[in-house]
Amino acid sequence: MSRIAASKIALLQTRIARFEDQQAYKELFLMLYPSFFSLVSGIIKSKPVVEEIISDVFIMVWEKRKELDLINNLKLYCFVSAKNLSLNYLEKQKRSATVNIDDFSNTLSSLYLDPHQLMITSEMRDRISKSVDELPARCKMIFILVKENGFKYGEVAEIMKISTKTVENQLAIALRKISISINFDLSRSLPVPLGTGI
Amino acid sequence: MDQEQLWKLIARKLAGEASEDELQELQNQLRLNPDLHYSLQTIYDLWHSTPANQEKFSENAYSHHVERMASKGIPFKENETPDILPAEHSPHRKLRPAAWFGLLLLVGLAAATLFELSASHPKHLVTTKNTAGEIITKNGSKTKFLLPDGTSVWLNAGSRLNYDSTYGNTIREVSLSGEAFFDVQKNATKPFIIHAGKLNIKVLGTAFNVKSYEGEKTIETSLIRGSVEVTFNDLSSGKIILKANQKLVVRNDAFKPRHQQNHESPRQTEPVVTIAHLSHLGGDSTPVETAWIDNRLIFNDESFLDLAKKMERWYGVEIDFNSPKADSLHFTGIFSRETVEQALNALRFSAPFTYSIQNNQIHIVTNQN
Repeated sequence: MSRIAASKIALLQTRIARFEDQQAYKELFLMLYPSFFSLVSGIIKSKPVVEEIISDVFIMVWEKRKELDLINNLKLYCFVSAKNLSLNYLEKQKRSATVNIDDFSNTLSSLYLDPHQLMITSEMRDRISKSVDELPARCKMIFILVKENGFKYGEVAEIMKISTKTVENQLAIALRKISISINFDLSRSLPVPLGTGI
Repeated sequence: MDQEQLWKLIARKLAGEASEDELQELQNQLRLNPDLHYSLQTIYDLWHSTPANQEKFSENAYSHHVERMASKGIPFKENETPDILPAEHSPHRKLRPAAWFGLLLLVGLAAATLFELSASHPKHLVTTKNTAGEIITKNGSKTKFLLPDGTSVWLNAGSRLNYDSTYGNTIREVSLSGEAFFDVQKNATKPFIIHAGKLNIKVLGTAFNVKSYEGEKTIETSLIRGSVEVTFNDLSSGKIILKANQKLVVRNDAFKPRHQQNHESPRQTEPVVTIAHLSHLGGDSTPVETAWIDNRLIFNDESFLDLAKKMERWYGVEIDFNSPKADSLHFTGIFSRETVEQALNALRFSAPFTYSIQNNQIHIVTNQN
């Protein structure tokens, strides 16, 4: 994840561990909640259950506060916990005999596109959104874990139990598909496509 | 290079996984593929666009979470953090966007000073539950915190800020020794007053820097925006109104009795109180006076002894000289991530001196006679 976010988390972690600093705990919660929400709601469809699982992860953080200093990458640690709790929940529900992280019917909407900020038309925004939504579940998950959560390849690999090579390939595929949707728009909006030499 | 390989490079760049060589390689490749530029630029913008404002959403989830902990009997009582007191749910307590921006600014510092912070922080974190507070930073460390009314304070190294339990009742009053930057929460009915040395600085809502280290020749007040009113404890009954981008420099010996001044004030011709503009160095948009908040030590034509004092606080070291003549050396420059050795070596490029370091003690030998 970004160095800024990582160092901020590390600082909050230390404040919680050493001083039981509740303001730091709250800041950590507010900082991580949106990412957790998009991760867990990708696995579980019921919003109250999603909230409960995230709450459980943060209860664990508070109860283990004295040992927080020993955890190297708190965000990753919490993400893996959240993923495990989610999968356990699914198992308990016996929704399926075996649960595979690839099976997410992923409805993550954490991709935020502001046409004004991006200087694109709302038409293009819709096309980009659509191209992201239409990515295969695993590919989209990787895209979101890297983009929205700033995880490194190795961290994504650890969360999803896949190889870093796969992370790299899938992310490249995601970007290439998004780029195609952008170029499609470009070729339509220009009377003469660039570089056609007419 | 095939498309697949090219997109992997682009992905590595965005994910922050690319090495210097790979970034160079990508640049070369993009020069060969100009038709990619438009979509890539859009993807870069998209990648770095900020997420929607989810603050409210997360805040709600947090209150649910705290309720849930209570219902499970997990010990978690709010209001115990003395640096952000009182934790009542008043609108003043919420971090304003500006404060969040301030936090962001601080993060760089935080990373750099994490280690030192943990050593210097407990002082104020273990204070009792009343709203009085004392925040102390040692040399080599800085911190940032919020006062009970939401005013942001960045406290530079080797400084101390105090406020007592009446803070915010009718006025907001703090006392400062050292250097701090204040971004004062606007509240016209409760003036914010800082006592620094013999100066009283009264503001209604503004951002400014106060430097008042014991043993330094001057007290400086630098204003970024708004206006402040400065009065003096025992100099005169007059007051000075300071406007944005101005700084007030008051010589500390202005407060000594007159007969003493005559004996030991070699710079008698200098006025005791000066109003000047904030200084900028090179094309830098941050004024020199507040650069420390961005974790930069800027010095502009400063004598070696003055610079050494700053470096002592900045790095948490002690510096002594073989000869007071070192003061005739003047330096201009900026340090940010340099270690103290790197900083000294850089200074040696422009002036003849040698140094030795033992633990935290630095001895400087100049060749000046």
